[in-house]
Amino acid sequence: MSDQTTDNSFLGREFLTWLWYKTEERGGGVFVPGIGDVEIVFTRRIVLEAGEGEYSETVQCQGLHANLKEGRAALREGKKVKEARLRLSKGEFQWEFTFKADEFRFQSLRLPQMMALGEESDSLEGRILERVALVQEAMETMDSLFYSFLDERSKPDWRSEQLPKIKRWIESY
Amino acid sequence: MGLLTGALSFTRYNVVGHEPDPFWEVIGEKIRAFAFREIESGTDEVARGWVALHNMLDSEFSYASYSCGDYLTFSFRVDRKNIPGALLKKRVMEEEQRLKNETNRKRISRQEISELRERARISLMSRTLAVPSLFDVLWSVSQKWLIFSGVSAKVRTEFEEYFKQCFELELIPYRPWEIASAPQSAVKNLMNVEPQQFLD
Repeated sequence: MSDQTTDNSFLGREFLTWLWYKTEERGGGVFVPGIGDVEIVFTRRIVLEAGEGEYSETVQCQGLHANLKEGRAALREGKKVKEARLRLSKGEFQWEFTFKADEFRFQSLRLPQMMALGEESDSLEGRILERVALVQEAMETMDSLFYSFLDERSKPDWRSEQLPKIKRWIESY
Repeated sequence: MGLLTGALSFTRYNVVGHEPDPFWEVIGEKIRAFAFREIESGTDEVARGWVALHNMLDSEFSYASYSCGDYLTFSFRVDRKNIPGALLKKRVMEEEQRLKNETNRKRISRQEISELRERARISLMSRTLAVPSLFDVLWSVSQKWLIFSGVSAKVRTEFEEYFKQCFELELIPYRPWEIASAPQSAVKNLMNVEPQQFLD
């Protein structure tokens, strides 16, 4: 453990907001360093918030396409994404989960359909290991995406090139 | 959470501390020592402990059933008796009335009410059945992380304390922005970061 403590929890909402932008920049496709291309779709439910505690203002958007219009309006008011239902696709595999930015937490994570792996997967241990591998893949993907965001945010061109692009995206609807 | 089936909601932790040696042997002993035991006394409110992942009645862990490849898998079972507030209130009122009638008084002291409430609580507790809750645990031994299917603050705290008491290891909630959780290459990017507005 490091003795250095930081309160960087604001990075959670910044990350999820950036991820929304990133998914639309290339029509759903996002490149994850060390993993490759994945597809991420913000689907059905998105919660945006500005401020904390009793001073917070929250907007919840539900429905297949509702998030685009109302969510974008909330972004224009300075709100950031606090939680969202995401669909992650890698090759034939598809995960769906609610992601909570403040705690970097998965909720109601639906795993890809299991492959028919023969007799081994019929055992309890085989079934657990198979599911654990799929859970771990989802966690590693979100971790890599977070560090990819952090890396981009720390580069010299963040303010001069990336931020203006995000701003244009927010204002484009 | 459904480590075995269904959708999963979970909290991620890093497992921190000095691991026992020989690891698997000591951990096996500790799991059994802190296995779930039924509520013994009628007035006990809660019982906690480890049970097998696939069977809440199994706290024997025969054939080291908690071992699954490189992982430890088991469940945290919490049996709790809950007395509805309205029921307790009614019982205390009844006892108050009875005492007033018996002693022919119009008022009874605060101290007496407090004693009546405690007696009513104990009496109801002994007649209430405990309701079990189960939370799955998956512990990656080599990578020192753990996922726990409890998400409410109350059950997380309960689990963290029980885990520490049992294994003498600390559970630190995983947040990728904590320097302790981050890979070395990201540490410099986490120093002195300031919140960013995406609009001017």
